[in-house]
Amino acid sequence: MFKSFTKMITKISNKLLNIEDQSYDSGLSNMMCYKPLNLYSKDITDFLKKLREKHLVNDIIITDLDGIVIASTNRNLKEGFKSAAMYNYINSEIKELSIILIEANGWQIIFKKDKKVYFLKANDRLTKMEVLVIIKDIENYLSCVV
Amino acid sequence: MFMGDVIAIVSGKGGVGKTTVTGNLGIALSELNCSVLLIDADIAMANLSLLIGLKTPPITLHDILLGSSSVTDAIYDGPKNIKIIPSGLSLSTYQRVDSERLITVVNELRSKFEYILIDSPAGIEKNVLAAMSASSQILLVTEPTAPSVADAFKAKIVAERLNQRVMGVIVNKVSNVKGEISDKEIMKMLELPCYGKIPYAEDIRQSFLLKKIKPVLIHNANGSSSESFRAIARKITGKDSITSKNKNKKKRGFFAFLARIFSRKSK
Repeated sequence: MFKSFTKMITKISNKLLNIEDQSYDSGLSNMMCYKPLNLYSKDITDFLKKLREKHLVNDIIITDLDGIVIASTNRNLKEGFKSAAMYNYINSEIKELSIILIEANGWQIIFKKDKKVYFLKANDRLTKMEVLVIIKDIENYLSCVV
Repeated sequence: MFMGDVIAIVSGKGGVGKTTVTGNLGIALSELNCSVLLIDADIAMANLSLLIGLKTPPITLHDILLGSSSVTDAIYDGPKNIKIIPSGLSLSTYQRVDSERLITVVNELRSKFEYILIDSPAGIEKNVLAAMSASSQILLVTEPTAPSVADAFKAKIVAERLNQRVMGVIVNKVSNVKGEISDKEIMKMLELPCYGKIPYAEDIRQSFLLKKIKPVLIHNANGSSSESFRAIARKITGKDSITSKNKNKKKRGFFAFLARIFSRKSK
């Protein structure tokens, strides 16, 4: 009884005094529904899919230096082999290579870390900072799982 | 050797007061006897040096990022013992600088200052990513309006993508008018603690209209705006507690409501 009376008085007062209206657009509250991703997964492919979502890239492929696919989000073995071959070729021409960025059908980003070649496909060019974060995420995952 | 705290002041939306917060917060931290360095990482639209009152510095962050000057050559004295690395105003050098080198610059200075505040550009472009990546913590600044909070939220998502810690939010330009989003709502939406509210006050506006622009902590040292900055500085140093969702529980009931009306009317 007292609660409903309080509510009524509050509503009338708000109208009369023109205050306390702190409602905001529903579009804003919809946008705020985002929750940070929990990257952890026992399955590496599942982890890479989550990583792809986190960093807004289209595909992530990890191969060894011979082009054998270790893990991939798209199961395209040919693409993994191609990326390792491309890395090895450019590395033979340009010493101290860190990251290769190629613009062709979006962006293709290739880099090597600990005898593994990482191949990312994205709609936009990633900065070195973003690539380093992806490497760190993968390293953290591998150190937890292995 | 200690490792200083590097805080990037980020907002997403432009014009919310990042530079004002950076300058004044730096002075407030210095008043608490902390060694403070301000870095103007707004490489394209630099104006922290104008707020601090530096006259066309010969060597700037542009020169450091281009690799043509050493870091120590671009550190200048500001008011109340703060140090500042200004950004250049030249558009030609801006286009050639590599903002990613900011991370190396900050790492070089980390052991020399207790607090390094990075004034970040607006948006979520490469220069903002560099400011975020160079920092150890991120402090968001927002106005109590929907577009500003939405952009702060986007900045928070980007920071999380970079695995950076967002320490909290500062609500700037608070004028307690109808339609403003309350700090409690902002904390709830961003899921972050609030470090403080800065009023939309005349003395801050006036500090930009003077012939010689001055931070409000110099222009009106005893005003309520200056006190707000000091309160935030105390929270950052751990001398005061931070307002979190739980600690800021609104009192309910009819009499509490009446008390809120009268306290607001008297402002």
